[in-house]
Amino acid sequence: MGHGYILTEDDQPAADASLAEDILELQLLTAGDKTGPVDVGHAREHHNF
Amino acid sequence: MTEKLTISGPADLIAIVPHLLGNRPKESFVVLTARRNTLGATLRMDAPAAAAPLDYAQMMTTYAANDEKATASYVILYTDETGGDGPFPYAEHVAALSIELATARMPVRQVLLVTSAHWGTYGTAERNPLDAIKDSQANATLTYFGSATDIDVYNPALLGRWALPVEAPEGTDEDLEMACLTWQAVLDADGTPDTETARALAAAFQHRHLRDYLFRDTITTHNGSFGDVLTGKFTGRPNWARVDRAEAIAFELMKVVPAGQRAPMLSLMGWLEWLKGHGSQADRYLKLAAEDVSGFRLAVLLRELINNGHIADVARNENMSYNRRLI
Repeated sequence: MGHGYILTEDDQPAADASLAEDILELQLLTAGDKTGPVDVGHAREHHNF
Repeated sequence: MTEKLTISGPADLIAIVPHLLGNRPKESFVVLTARRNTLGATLRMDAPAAAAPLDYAQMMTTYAANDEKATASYVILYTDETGGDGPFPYAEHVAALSIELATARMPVRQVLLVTSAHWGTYGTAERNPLDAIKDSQANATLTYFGSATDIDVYNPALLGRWALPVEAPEGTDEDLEMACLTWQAVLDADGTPDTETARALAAAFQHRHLRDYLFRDTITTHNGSFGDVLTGKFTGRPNWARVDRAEAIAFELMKVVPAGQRAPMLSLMGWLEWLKGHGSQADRYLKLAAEDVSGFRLAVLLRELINNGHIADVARNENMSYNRRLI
């Protein structure tokens, strides 16, 4: 027998729920140590460095 | 462009770093990867506060190893630390980094030390004036051809002191469609939007659900997945001119709302800077966002991600990443 689930008002995502915030929170669950921000740049071949 | 920029010495090498990164490092380690006679990637990390030398060196080397063609490297340490008990600052970190980079087949050709008073070869008594960097051939050439460092879209003096608050839409499907269409039209047009359009967009940015879509649709090469877009995984090279324009427009939208409603736009600017590889600038904008609206959730989370040393996927890839304007 399967169970019947009732979707209550509390179960529904808020109208202004943020998917981006939820995704970031999940991502941060496995975050490492704090290092500070990192800056990255790439020289291009045509720069002839 | 066919102009040739020749790096003929350490002063030239130090001079190009701000042009490549868009900021002048302070209390930082910088690694430049090299391939035969050309440079590859440039990486900047905060000088280690408490990180163990090996941990720090391995992390920096992992970032440098994104340049699969690198065959050598240069290390530049920017600091006013004097070295404590030892003769040179961060000596254990420099040693560990040299070993790790060599192990990763990027042996270090030279380590340089830059302080606020002088520069020289690390581990020696050499003291050269900073003017030698400013007056270097590389700096003169890059500046002549229009490269500018420390460019900042955000100028608080231009924001004005007062504006009527906007009211966020309800967030219906129609609101979402309208907001996305308007955002696209503004990004595709020239000039700045009129006040009515700017306020409508600024209002849409106040709604978290609509805001997420506006963030996503700033990038045209996305696969639809918010997770991929947020972390910079794209289906092709982003239209970086459009990204630059989005940042400029975000600042325009900030002008038409009062303090307390600017956080979403500052967050967009921070996220876009991070996609470009500019973690420091991103962190600065996101900090401002979290001050504009105390604890603004999106900005707080993005800051945490960035301060954990995450680099956007797109910024790691030399063929997809942002091109600073150089010769």
